[in-house]
Amino acid sequence: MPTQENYFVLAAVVAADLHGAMAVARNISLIASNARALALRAGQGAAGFRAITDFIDELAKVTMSSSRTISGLASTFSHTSADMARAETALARFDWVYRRAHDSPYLVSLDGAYRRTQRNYQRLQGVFKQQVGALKVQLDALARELRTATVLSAMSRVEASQTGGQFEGALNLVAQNVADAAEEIQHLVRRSQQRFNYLV
Amino acid sequence: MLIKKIYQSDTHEWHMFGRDPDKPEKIIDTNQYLIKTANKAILLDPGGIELFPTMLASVVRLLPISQVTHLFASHQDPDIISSLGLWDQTLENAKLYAPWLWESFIRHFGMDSIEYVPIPDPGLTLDLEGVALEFVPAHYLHASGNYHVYDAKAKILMSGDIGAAMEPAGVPFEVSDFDAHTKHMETFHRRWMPSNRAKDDWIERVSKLDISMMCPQHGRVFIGDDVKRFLDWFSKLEVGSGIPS
Repeated sequence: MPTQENYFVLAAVVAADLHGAMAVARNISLIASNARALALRAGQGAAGFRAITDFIDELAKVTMSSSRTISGLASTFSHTSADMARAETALARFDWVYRRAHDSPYLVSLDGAYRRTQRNYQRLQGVFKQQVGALKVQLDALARELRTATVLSAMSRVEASQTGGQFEGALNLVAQNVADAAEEIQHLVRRSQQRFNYLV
Repeated sequence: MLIKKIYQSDTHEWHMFGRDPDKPEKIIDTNQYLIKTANKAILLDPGGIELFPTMLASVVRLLPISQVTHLFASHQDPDIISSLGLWDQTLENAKLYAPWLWESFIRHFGMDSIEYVPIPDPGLTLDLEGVALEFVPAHYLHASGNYHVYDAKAKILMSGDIGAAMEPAGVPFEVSDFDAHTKHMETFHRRWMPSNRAKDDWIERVSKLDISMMCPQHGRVFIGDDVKRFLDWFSKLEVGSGIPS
């Protein structure tokens, strides 16, 4: 279980992972463009493959958009965690002062600041929970979306085998590249999900 | 942390804080100052984040925390003002007077509720319930935007890093043997102060002030004739030793 202080580190790592996922998704988009060109050159025999490239492209777009959203949410969450750590630090310091300066004539004048900071800390805790929930929902949605990549890859292989001849190898490679890129993103998303499981 | 009242009049008081026994060993010892009028107070160079709880505990021994209406940072160093983020959570409606040059840097310490009042290059005078506190330029001594605080009524100059000394923990608050004290100041001033021109300019400006007490941010306070002795000693010192001559 991470400590309060490293929640924001965790969020920053998730933001970085999702930023990495965006880069891989951009690669999928490129693969889809190349596949489309290849399918056109392959002619009528690759008509089925051409249709699949639209789905690959769509998957890339959805992945990029979701990754961007999650990365942004993680960044906001990281700020919230840092603010919480600051408020928690202030409260710990105030507690120290209450213990050490208990005989000070003006100690009671700290009560206002203590209550204010405590209220702020509680507010931040609420925001924190909300943001963790939103992040989890988005990560789960992206993970579900990525399951279609396995189907797309399998369909691509089937369609590649239909073309036969000189384009079969190249189209199989496209199918493999889609599968590899999707696996890489899935790995990053799974890792992020595991990290956030600590918090919910 | 020790607290010493170093001045009292019908209008205001000066208090000095330092020699903190709870201070972690590897951080430099610092002096903090508080000027208190009837209803207001200003903390001068309130210190680093490590020092914050002991400073806060010391302040509430003297006054209610709501009376701290102003902060002053002579420059941007962490031992001067890295506690800002925590003061920001403590004080409502306070103002921080600090060099205009460092505003965007100092804000990195965290500042949401405190108002930053930038001090322009020529300095300015703050009226704290009728007490005139002059922020005197001390640029390049050692920071490129840097000020000291002069109180003409109390004849006190809070001189930031000028007059600082590196000594073992627990030494007295005041200089008792100036000549012996110079060995604790020499390396600091030669290395930390970058410019002879800035030094001469500052000495010329400060020599015109009537000072009976010079209070640095590290080390001991200079009283009476030791102030003049310090200015003479400093005027002869070649600074900027980081670059071989």
